[in-house]
Amino acid sequence: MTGSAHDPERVWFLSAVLAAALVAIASGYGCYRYSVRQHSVAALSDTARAELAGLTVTPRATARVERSWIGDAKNEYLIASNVPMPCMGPAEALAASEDPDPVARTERLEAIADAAPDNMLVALIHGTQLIEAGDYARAEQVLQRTLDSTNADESIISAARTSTTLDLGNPEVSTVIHLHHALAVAQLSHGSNNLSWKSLKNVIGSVKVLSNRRLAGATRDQPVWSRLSIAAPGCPVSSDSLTTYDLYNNLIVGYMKSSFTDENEREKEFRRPRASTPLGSVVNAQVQRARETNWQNESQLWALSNVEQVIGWRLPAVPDDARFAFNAVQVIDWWTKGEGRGIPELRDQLIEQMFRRRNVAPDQRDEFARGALRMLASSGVNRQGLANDAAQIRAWLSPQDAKALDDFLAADAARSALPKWLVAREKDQEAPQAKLGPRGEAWYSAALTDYAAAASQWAASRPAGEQREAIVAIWQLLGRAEAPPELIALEKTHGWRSRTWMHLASWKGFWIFIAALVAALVWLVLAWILAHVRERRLLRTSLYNVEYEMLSKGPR
Amino acid sequence: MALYKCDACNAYRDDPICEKCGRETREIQLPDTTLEEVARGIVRPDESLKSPLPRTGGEGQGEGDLPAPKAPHPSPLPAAAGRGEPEPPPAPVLIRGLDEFEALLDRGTKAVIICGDSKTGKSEIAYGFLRAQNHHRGQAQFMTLRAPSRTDQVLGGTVAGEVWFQVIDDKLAFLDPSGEFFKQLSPEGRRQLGLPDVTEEHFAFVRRAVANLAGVVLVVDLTRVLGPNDFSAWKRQEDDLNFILAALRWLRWDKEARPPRIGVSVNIAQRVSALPRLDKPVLVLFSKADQLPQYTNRVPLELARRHLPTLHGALMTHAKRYRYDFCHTMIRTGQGDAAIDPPCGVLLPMEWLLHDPLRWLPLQLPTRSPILGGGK
Repeated sequence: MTGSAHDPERVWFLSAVLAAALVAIASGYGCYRYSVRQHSVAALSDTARAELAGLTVTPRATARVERSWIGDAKNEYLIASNVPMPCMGPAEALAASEDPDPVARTERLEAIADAAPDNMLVALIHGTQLIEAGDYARAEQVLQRTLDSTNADESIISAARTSTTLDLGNPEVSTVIHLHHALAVAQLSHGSNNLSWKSLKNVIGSVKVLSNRRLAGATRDQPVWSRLSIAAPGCPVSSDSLTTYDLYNNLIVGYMKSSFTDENEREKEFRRPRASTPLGSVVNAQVQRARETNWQNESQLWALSNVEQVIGWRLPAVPDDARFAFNAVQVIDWWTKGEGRGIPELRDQLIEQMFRRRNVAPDQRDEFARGALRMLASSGVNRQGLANDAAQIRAWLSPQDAKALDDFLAADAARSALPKWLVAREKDQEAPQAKLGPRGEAWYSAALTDYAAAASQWAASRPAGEQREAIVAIWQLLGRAEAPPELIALEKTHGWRSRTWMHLASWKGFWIFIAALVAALVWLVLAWILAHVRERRLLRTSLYNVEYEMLSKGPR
Repeated sequence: MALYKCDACNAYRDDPICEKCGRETREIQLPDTTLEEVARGIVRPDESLKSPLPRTGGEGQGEGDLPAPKAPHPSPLPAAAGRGEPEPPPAPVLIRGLDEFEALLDRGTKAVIICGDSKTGKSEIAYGFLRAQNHHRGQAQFMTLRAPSRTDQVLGGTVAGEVWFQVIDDKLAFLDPSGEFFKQLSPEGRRQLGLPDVTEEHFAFVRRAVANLAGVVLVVDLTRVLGPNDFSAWKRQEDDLNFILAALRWLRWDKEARPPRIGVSVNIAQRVSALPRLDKPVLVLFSKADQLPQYTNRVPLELARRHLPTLHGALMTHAKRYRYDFCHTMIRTGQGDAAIDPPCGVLLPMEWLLHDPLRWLPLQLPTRSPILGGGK
């Protein structure tokens, strides 16, 4: 067979058609780049871009993504389970409590307690031993029996509630408070359905006035411990001492875990002046709602009310107790799910306090750290400022959760860097989400949504023309990411034609389509010209002679 | 009335002296056939004598060389009516091979119609394209042309009243009608024979093919000349092809009802200028180019412009895209004509006709446009 029996125009023509295709592709690509740039933030004025680069992004969508990094397990309420052993009491009881043999110690203390069932110190020593041994049911029996056998506790509490000079160092006062606290711990710890509300509420009542004064006055706005310590009978105040936060904490936990109702005290508790704080507004709104629903969830409403009281004493600071803050955030979340406007600032303060104080019992550190991590994920706390405190909590976390904590901190830094990166990116600048590794992609999409929300709020105050350009640029930034409600609302202020154009102009697919049309048109024009040049040349060519010459040369 | 033939002009005369060249003619002995019978067979009087014709070209045994078919079908033409009067509607005719070809068209095959006078080498060109494709492109196809008189050397002529077809591939097929069909359409031939105007029935062999058209090949035998500088013999072919092109254009586009009182020729002449030009390319092949060395070193377009003005004008008028080229598929040897492998001038022009990948481009300029320069 002979070789290339083709028309003489073939080689240059095919090459030219291929070159035309390359030119067309280049034209289409150039058209796409130009069009997209003309409808991006890069086309906005320098002033607008500078303002957009300086926007603060509120974590909303990103918070949802970050929460998914640590699973959706429900947080537990933390009980203040510290029941210090008294330093005073009957000598034989104290001696028995120090018996190294647990069985012998229990038997000896039981014998002493049986002999003096109304002795509160003996009951406290015995109950404390049983609680430390984890025998909460027996401890509840012992403590309840003693409190049932005597009225001394009630008279002391009554006196304390009316006295303006309550001496927490008084052994009798301390004994009663510790006895009731120990009973509450025993009941909450073994999940008793018959919570001794009297114990829980009465001891609060006895220290309430003092707590109020102490917490509200002594340390307002001061970054020092504000806790009011109650030393165990005969003991000096120490870091292990019971505090008023512990008492309030257990009362709140009791409310949240049970279904308490009190028709008599209800009106007194929930009759409130006009709210002056966001949390107060939430409480008032929920009380109003409870009235309309026949006091549904009354127990949890009592918890919220107590949280609000304790927090109110410290405003504008928050209680500097990690466990109380931990439980308080859960109570607030329980009530404000979906309607938390105004609460995030308070919530962030409590979470920040949790990280700063971290004063939880060693056996509660795991639960506390995991819960604090979940709360951090849904907060607007400046995580960079908590980096050192977070490093302490990191040691209490599993490796997986510790990684999540690292990513939280990295995500916060990325969120801060995002506006500048989106609007005024420097050459070769690393993407903010790069440090998040495989989590970066989903986080970035959510971060775009959050940024779009902030940018939409900014654009709302711009002139109409600039606003349209900004909306197009924001839509383009968003890409496939979810549009925030702020952007949707802003867009609805424009007519449907304007909206349609803004959507098309911001959609890269539209410009790809236009670029493809341009490329096709360029190629068509070039191909048309080439085809006609070829046709003209072929018309003047004798293909017979071409074949003849080729055949004359013979087979190759 | 006696009939004479001028061998120099290859034309029939009424007088012993040719009115055109002034040479003596020879008398044609008519058998016991009437003019109508001659017309019915569309054979020239001398062909009806079954005398073997001398081969003037190299290709294609004359259709007249073949034994007369035993005609299992009625003659393609009805009895002629009086001269100049509209012919009465003829009875449906049976054209051998047409049913099968039209069945191919029903499958979506597109037709490449090869037009030309008898013995111009139409079938050899169709078959030669297959050979050239096999030789140069490695694309084999076997012959579907029904050539009962085929020998090792030549293909033989298409039997009168029969269409051959050659499948090119799954989408294309050549339609190779007998030259007799085109003779029937020749205005000059009919005038000489005193036949009435053509009827629509005369286009039956090509009507479906025109509707499924892929291209048209016009075959012109330039060897039919009196002398080296006498081009008058081409005029007959030009006139015939002029009419055929107009008829093809008319068949392709004119869907309107035709008044019965207007003859087909008149109808074509009146209607065709209002119709779109042929939208498929037209390739004019000057066959037997091996015998035309004085022409083949010229640009075919210039040759056509200069020496075939009627044909060139017809192409400008009726076709949008066209080109000219030479070809030869046989060579003359001492023992007669023999097919050559591969043929020359068939492959590339046919590929121009059939395989232009950018034919779909919109707004293509016609060949006659000044930009392409294919006009006057």
